[in-house]
Amino acid sequence: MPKVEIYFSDLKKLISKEVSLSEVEELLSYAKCEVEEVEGDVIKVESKDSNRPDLWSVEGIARIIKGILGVENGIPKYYTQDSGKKVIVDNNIRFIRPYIACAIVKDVNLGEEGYHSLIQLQDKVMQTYGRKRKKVAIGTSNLDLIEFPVYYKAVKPEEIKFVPLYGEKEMTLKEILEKTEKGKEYGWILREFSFYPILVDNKNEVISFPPIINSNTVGRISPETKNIFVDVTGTDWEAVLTSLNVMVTALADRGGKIEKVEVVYLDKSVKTPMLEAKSISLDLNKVRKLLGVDISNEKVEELLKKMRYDVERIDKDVLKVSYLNYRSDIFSWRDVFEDVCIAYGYNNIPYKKLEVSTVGKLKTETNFLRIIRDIMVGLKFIEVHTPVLMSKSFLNLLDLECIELENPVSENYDSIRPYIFPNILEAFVYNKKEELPLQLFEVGLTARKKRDDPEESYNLAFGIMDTKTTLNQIREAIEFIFTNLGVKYRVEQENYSFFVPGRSGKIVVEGAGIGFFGEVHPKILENLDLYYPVSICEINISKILKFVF
Amino acid sequence: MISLHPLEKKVLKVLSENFQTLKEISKKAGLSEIETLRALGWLKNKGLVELLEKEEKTIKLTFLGKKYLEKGLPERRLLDLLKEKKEIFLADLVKYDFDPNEVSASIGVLKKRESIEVKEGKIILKKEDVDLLEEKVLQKLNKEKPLSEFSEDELKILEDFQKRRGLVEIKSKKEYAAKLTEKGKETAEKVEYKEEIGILTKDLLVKGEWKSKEFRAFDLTLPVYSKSFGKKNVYLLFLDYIRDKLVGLGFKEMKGNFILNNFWNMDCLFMPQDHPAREIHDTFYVKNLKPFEIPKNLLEKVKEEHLRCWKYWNDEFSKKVVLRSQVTALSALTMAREDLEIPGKYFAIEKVFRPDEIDAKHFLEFYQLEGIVLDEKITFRDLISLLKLLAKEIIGTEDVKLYPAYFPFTEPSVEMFAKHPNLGWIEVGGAGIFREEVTKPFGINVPVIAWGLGIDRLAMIALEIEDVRDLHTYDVNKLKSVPYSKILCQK
Repeated sequence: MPKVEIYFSDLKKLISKEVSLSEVEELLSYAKCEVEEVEGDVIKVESKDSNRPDLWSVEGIARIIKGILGVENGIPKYYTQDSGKKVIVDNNIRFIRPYIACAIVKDVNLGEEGYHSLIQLQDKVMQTYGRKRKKVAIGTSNLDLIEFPVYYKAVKPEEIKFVPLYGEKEMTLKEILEKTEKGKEYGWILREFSFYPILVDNKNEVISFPPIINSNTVGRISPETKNIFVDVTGTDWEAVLTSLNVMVTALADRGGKIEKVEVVYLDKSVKTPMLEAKSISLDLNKVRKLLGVDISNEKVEELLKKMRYDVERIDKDVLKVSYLNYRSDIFSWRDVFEDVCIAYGYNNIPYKKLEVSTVGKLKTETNFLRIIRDIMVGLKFIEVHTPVLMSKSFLNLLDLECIELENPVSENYDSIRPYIFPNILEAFVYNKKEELPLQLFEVGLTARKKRDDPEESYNLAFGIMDTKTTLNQIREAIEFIFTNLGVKYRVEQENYSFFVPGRSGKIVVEGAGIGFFGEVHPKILENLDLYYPVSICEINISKILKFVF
Repeated sequence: MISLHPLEKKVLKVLSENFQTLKEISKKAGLSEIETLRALGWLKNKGLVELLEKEEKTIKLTFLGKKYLEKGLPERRLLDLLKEKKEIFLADLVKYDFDPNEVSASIGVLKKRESIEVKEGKIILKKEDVDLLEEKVLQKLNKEKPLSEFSEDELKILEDFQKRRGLVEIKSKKEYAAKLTEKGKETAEKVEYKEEIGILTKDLLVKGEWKSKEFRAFDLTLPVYSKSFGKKNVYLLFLDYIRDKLVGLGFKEMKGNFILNNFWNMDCLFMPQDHPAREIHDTFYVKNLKPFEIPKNLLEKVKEEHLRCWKYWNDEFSKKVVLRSQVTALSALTMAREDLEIPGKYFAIEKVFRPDEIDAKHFLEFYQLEGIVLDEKITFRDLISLLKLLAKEIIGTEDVKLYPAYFPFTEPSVEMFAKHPNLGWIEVGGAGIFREEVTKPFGINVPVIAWGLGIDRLAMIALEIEDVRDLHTYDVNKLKSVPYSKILCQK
């Protein structure tokens, strides 16, 4: 989730009210932000909602806090006027990055804090909401250097040259993708295309190369920049508009005046930003019912206004709830309901005994596993609990096939264990200097490939390592286990590559093989650097369970 | 009267006011030296004897040393050869059966005595008569001797023999001598050497011999060590303990596959397919497995919700086989079951898998505790109350703070922090009411509250484990030493 750095002094200025640092933590929670660290004036917060880009800036956070503190309420007011400026969209961009929305914000007082917040917000919106710039990319440029109309079009990778932001020399679009840091990071978005998007002004000066980088001249702003041109491009029109709204409202909160730009497509023309109220109806009885607290209609209205909604009673118990369309997270009345809960205060909701009366029950499987573990402890085995993920190379040493991971993070854990006895062997290796005998067992998850399907099961594996150990010790344990489980079984001679030939067998229940046991082959012990004999047994518990119940 | 072991009595009987060696004492007492020494140790601890311990070092020849004793030292052989040849090329020495490893040591010895010089790869004789102390030392070692029999100069040579040339080895041997203390004398006089029963045997019982004998008291001050006994894994026992708590609160356990497809793991939980948190880094994908059948009706409905809200859906992606990365997948599977009960309460403590850097705080697999409650009348207040109840039952605290949170599948969402008596405020879990976009495709029309607790974190606190990897430890010593009672430390 986005991590945002805010300046405490800046926040106080924006909410135009004095608050203490100790109050801030709770206030931030209303804006779904959790304080991670405070360092002098800098508060590092984690914004928890990945669908609320409007809360990823100090300006957006301040908007909510103002509502909570009663400094303002209802939908925040933003005024827009026409700039008369145009952005002309070339039809050839249609299949590459079809949408663009722009805005002009004049007379902003950015300063260091505002500049820092703007750049940060731009980045967070592109990363999370903009799906790493694929869905949405944002550019901010120096309006005073732009001669309108501006053109948004697709060009060949080597057709245009410009100096990229903070670069030193002119580069073609192709070179930018190959050589600059941003080009390498986001070049994947354009990989499949033979034409790239570009935004140029009337003098053919490059403003930006979306979604990669701005130009170093027009496309560069500083804390002193007063008049800003914002462009948002992307593949999803709604997301493009929402992102533009998030950007311009943040700028307007710093004194900026928003002006609309006419974006001229081949078949239509729209003036952006399109800041407007959307609405949803809210059944107050449903709110009361789901909240579980008897709350008056008036109280709900008051809480909603605090959370920056406008409300209008359209029926006795029905509200028309309006919100500004920088919010794209409202899919149903539930999203509004959450804001009612937040404003009410989660910690103000009184405790109540849970009335849903049901009978609690463990799965038979869980009980069965417990019984088996009890039996093993009675046999003086120590229970280990080891990872389900294993190393394929270790399993190969035992001639075992396994299900492999496509994206392992370590060779030690690149597969799923088909059996547990390899872990028991590893445990013996780990403890080889300990006092003997060592008797270890584990009951746990395993999975094997059966044709192309995974076959999961709970298995039991146990092993004995001692100065001398024979198969009989294992067989005595098997006898004890099955007697106590009340399951009839028999053993059959069977050879396995990891056991000494002639000293291993399989366990059969109801005609089905459900396990095996044997003395581990010295070639394996040698490979593991183990110089004590080891006998082991592995039983598929899930299969037995089917026979028992 | 001090209680004495029969061994102690036997030893005490033969001791006197004068020092005797261990050998003498054990011979008189008719015991082995080890038994005698053990008894002397105990008696010393009781202040009855004075025990002297003397360590003596002896030196003897190694195999190579013995060879030189027979054949002569290589420096002597080199000197003899030079007497004959006057000068010789270094490279030619091999021909005369010199071990290359010994050549430099021999040249060193002779050079030090100015008997030879080495020039342009040749050894040239300068002085024939040399006194080789090395030879005398070697001959003196025809049998093992105490180190004390050697002079200062000889010791230097021995050091060279031992460390650089491997001709001798030094062994140390401990000598013991003991005598009675004043208290020991008094005790020895009073000791009754009557026959006592050490171990009660069947014979003694059958023949009734115990009636005429006395039982020897056991010395309980002696330490004992617990040997290899069976033991359950304390971490799993902790999880069992929590399971039992939840059953006590009326929850039914859920179980299900840990290998499943994206659809069950995330799609049906309204998590957008193109969401950054779903990228390859956050889920383990599995090679070459066939996707599972997804009920067609459910698939269509879930897809519809995704397209309506997220405007993105990819059938192939939905089918990809993954390892369960959140237990909520199990809640989803449960909601799809025909025998789902409404009203109903379900829970699971199961393993989930996530790619991560492995360190003290992160491992690739861990347990999650999750529960759901389905009921027509369930409310957000019930959820908040349930969280408080869980904090009380599982963590043992009534001091909790709740914060707004975000989970893709719940709205509203909440996070809970609890005040732990030792650790202060800790994050313990998250919860919420499942979105209608989640429940509707399952045909569920009542509210469903869902909650999850970080059970591994709680286990680590209870078991006082600092490194998360220790939850999967192979170390038998650690497993043996964690007390079971730790799991109960949370009231």
